[in-house]
Amino acid sequence: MSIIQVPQISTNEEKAILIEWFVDDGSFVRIGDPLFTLELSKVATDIDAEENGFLEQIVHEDTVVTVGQIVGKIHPDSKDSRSQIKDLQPEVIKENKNDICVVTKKAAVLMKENDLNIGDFPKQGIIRSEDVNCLLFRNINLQKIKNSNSPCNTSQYMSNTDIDKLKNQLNILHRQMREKYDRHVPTGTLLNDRWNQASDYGFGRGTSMYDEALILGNVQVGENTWIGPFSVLDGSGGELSIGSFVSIGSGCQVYTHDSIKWALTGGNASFSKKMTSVGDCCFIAPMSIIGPGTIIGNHCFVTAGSFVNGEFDSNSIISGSPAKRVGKIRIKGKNVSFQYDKEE
Amino acid sequence: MMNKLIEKALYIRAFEETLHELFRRNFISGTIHTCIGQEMAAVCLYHNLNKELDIVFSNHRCHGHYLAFGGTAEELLTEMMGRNGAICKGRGGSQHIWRNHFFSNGIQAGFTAAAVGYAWAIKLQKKRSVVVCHIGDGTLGEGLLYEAFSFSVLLEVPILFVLEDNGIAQSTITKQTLTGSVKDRVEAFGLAYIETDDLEPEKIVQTASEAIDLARNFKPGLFHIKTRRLCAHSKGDDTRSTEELSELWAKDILSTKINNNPEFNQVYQKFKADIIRLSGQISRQEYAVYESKAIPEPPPKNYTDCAISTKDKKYRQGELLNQALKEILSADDKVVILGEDIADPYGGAFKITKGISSLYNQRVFSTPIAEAAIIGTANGLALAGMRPVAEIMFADFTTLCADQIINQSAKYYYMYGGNVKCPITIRIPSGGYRGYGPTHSQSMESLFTGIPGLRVLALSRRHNPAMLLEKAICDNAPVLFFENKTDYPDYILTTPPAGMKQSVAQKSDTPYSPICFCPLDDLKADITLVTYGGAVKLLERAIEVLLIEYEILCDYFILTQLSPLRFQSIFESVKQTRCLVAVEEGFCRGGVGDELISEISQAFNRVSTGLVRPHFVPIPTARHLEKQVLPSVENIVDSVRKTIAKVDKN
Repeated sequence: MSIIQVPQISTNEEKAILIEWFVDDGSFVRIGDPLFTLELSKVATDIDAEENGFLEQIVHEDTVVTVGQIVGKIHPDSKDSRSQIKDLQPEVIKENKNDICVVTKKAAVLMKENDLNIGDFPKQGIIRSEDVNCLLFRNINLQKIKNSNSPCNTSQYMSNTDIDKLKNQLNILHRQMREKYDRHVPTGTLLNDRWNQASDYGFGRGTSMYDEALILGNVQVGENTWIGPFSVLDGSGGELSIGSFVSIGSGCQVYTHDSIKWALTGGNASFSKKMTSVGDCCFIAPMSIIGPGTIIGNHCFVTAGSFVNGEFDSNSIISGSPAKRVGKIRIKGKNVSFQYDKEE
Repeated sequence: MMNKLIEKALYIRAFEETLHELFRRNFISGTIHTCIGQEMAAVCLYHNLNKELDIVFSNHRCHGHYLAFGGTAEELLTEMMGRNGAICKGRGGSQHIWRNHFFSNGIQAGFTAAAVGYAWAIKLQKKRSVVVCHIGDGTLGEGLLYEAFSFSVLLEVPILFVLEDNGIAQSTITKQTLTGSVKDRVEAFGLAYIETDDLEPEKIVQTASEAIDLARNFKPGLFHIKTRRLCAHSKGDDTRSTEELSELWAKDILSTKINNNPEFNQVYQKFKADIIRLSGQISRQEYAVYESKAIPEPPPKNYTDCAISTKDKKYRQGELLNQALKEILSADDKVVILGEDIADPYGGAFKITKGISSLYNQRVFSTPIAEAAIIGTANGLALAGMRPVAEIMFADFTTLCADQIINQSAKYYYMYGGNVKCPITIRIPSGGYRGYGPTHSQSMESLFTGIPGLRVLALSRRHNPAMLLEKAICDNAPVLFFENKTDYPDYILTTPPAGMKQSVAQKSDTPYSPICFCPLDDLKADITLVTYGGAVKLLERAIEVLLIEYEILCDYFILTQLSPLRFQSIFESVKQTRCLVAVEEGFCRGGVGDELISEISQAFNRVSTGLVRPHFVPIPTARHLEKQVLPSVENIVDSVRKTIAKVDKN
C-alpha cells in the first residue's frame, strides 16, 4: 500500500484546493494516471498515480488541503479497498519482472469462462478475445491429437455452434453488402477487397479483380481495368499482358498455353506456349475465350461468347466462333460508332 | 564639406528621378516610395555615423538612406528590377533591403522594437555602435512606436530614433490626425528630444553629432527633422494642390542649386546620365531565380528523437523547462530571456523562469505589458546574433504580437535573400481545461501554421522538454514553442501507453520527428491516431479504452513540428490502416488536423478520416460548459469507432 500526499507545487504556497478526483473510489489505477486536480492561485495541477493499484479516497472534492497532507491511498489488491471492485476492471497484470500484459475486457470474460490465466499464453503484450479463441482452438486440437494419436483434419473439430456462429457472421456481412451496394457476392469477394487483391498481384492502379478469378503465372495488367468474376487469366505459357481500361467480362478465359498436342499424342508432345496480349480500352464481353498467341489492338470490342484466335488491329469489332473482324469502331470524344462490314 | 553633402544629395535626387522613369516603363514591380525633397536630411545625419560600426533601421522610404549609408545605386537597382545577383535575390524589392548594417522594412513602426532589440544586443556585446531608427510622421499613430520608446529608456540602449516629418502621411495631412505635440509625447517617455529643419543643413550636421554621441552613451533620444515631400507617397496618390506643391518646391535647396548653380547642374546631369546608363545595363541581365526555401535548416546536431529517457522519470515538465533555461543561459551568453512578470520572486505566471533573474540579471528583461515590443525586441536581438527566448504569458495574447511574428520574424530570412537569420524562440503557454475563459484558454497554433518562414513546435508530456527547448533555441529559424499550461505540473511520461511500444518509424523522420507508437506483438493497427501538445493526455486515456473495451489497436503519432508539417511516417501508417483520426485542442476550423487530412486525401484514395476538436464557439469559463466545448475521452472513442465503421472495404 502507498499513500498519496499533496506535493509542493509552488514555492510560495502551502495551501491548495482539491478540485476533482478523476478516478472513482475503489477503482484500479495505473502509474501515470491522473488522480486529482489541485488548484493554486493561478495554476491548476493534475496529480498522477505513482503506483499501480486500487484507489482509496480519503479527502472529498472541493477541500482545502495543505502540502504533505494524505489525501488517499493506493492498495495493491482490491480486498483492502473499502468498496467493491467490479469483475471486469481493465486487467493489467504484472507478470514476473517488468512485462506488463494488457487483457481486454472480452478476453478477460472468455478466460474466466474457460478457466485460463495469463501463464497459459505464450509471452505477449496484448491478449484479445481473438487470442483466447486461438488458444482454445489449438488446445482442442492438441487434445484430439493426443487422443487419436493420428494426424487430423482440423475442420472436423469445428463444433456445430462454431459453424453456426461463422454462418451467422457471414450472413451479417452479406446483409451489409446488400444494404450498402445492393448486391450479393461469393464469399471470397465478400471477405477480400477487390482492389487490394489486384494491387497485391502487381496490377496497375485502380484495377480490381474478383476473388473468384483464376490467375496463373505471368499476368500483367494496366490501370483501371475491371476483371470480372469466374474469369481465367493464364500467364503460365508466357506473358499475358492486358492494357489499361479493359473490361474482362464474367467467365472470360484468356490463355497463353494449350495442351492439345500433348493430349492427342498421349503425352509425347509437349504443351504449346505463346504470349497473348490485349491492348488498352478493350471490352471483352462475357464468356469469350481468347486462345494462346492472340494479339488484340487497342479499342477493340469482342462480342459475347466469341472464340478469338489470331491477330486483330486496333478499333476492330471481333465476333463469332471462330471469331473474325466484322467491323470497325470509331471514337470521337465520348461518342462511339459501330460500323459493321456489309455481309457478302 | 557642405558642397560634398549637397553632391551626395544630388546623387540621390538623380537616382529617385530615374526610378520614376523606370517605373513608368514597367521595369520595376510593385511600387516605389521616393524621397525627393528629403535627401538632405539623411545625408547630413549620416555624416556623423560610422559606417563600419553603426546600424540603420530604415522604413519604406529607404532609397536615400541606403545610398547615404554607403550602398550603391547598382545594388539597389538590381534588387528593384529583380535581376540575378541582387542583394535580396529580388524578394525584398524597394522596401525591404538588407546590406550588412542596413535594414529596411515597409511596415509603419514595425521595425522600431527590433531596432531597440538590436541596440540592446550592442550593449550586451559591449560594442560602441549606435542604432539609428527611421520613422515618419505617419508612424506617430502606431502603438508599437511608444512601446519601443519605453523599452529603449528602460533598457538604456544606444539608439537614436529619427523622425523625418514631412507633414503628410500618404495622403493625410498629419496635423489632422496628430494630437498634442511630438515633443511632449517623446519627453513623456524620458527620451532626449532634438528638433531641426532640413532647410538648415549645417545645423542638422551639428545637432545630430550631439544626439548620436548621447545615444552612444546609452541616452536614447528622438531627432526630429522637419522636411518636405515633393512627390507623391508612392505613385499617383498625391492630393495636394499644384500651388501647395510649387510653394514646397520653391523652398527646396537641391532644386534651387540645380536651377541657379551651373556647376551643380552639371554634376546633377552627369549623375542622371550615369544612373540611366546603369539601369540600361542591369535591364539586360538575367532575372533572379525562384527558390522555395523559406526557413533555415534545423540545427545540425544529429538528434535521433525527442522522446525522453527514463532517467528523467521523476521530473515534472515545468521543472525540466526551468532547469533547461538555466543550463542554456549558463552555457551560451548569447541567450537572453524576456517577457512579462518573469523576474524573481514571482518567476513567471507558471514559474518556468523562477530563479533565473537572480542568476542572470543582465540577460533577463521583465518587460512592461507590451507583447508586440517583446517580440520586436527579440527580433532585433536575433538580427544582432543573439538567441532571445521570449515568453508570451497566455497563447491568447499572441494576437497582440501577430504582426511582429508574421510580418517580421517569419519574413527576414526569405525577404532578405537568405542573408539574415532570425533565431528567436517564443515560448507560448496555451490550452484550456482550467476555467480561465474565452480569452485565456485558447490554443493558437493554427493561426501560425499557415505562415511560411516560421517553425511551430508543440511540446507534450511525452517530449523531453529540455532537449526540445534547447533544439528550438539552437535553431536558426524563428520558433513558436507551444507549451500546454496543464502539462507543467505533470510528470513526463516515460512508459509507453498500454499495449504499445515505440515504433521504429521514429528514426526515419528528421529532425523534429513525431513520436510514434505501434501495438505490441507486431499486431496490425486498425487505425492511425495523430495528436500533439495538450491533447496527448486525453488521447492516451482514449487509446486505453479503445483497446480494453473495444479491442481496437492503433498506430499513435505525437507531432513535434506542426509547421512545416512532415507526413512521411504518418503516410506509411495510413497506407496500412486506411483510417485516420486527428485529435487536437486547437481551433475548430483550419487546424493542424484539417491540414493533415487534406494531405492524406490528396495522397490516397478511399481513406476514412475523423477529427476531434473543440466546438466552434469561444471557450466558456464555467467548468461544466468548458468541458462540453473542449474534446473529451468520450468524443475521441466515439469518433474512432465511427471512423472505423465507415472504412470502405469494397
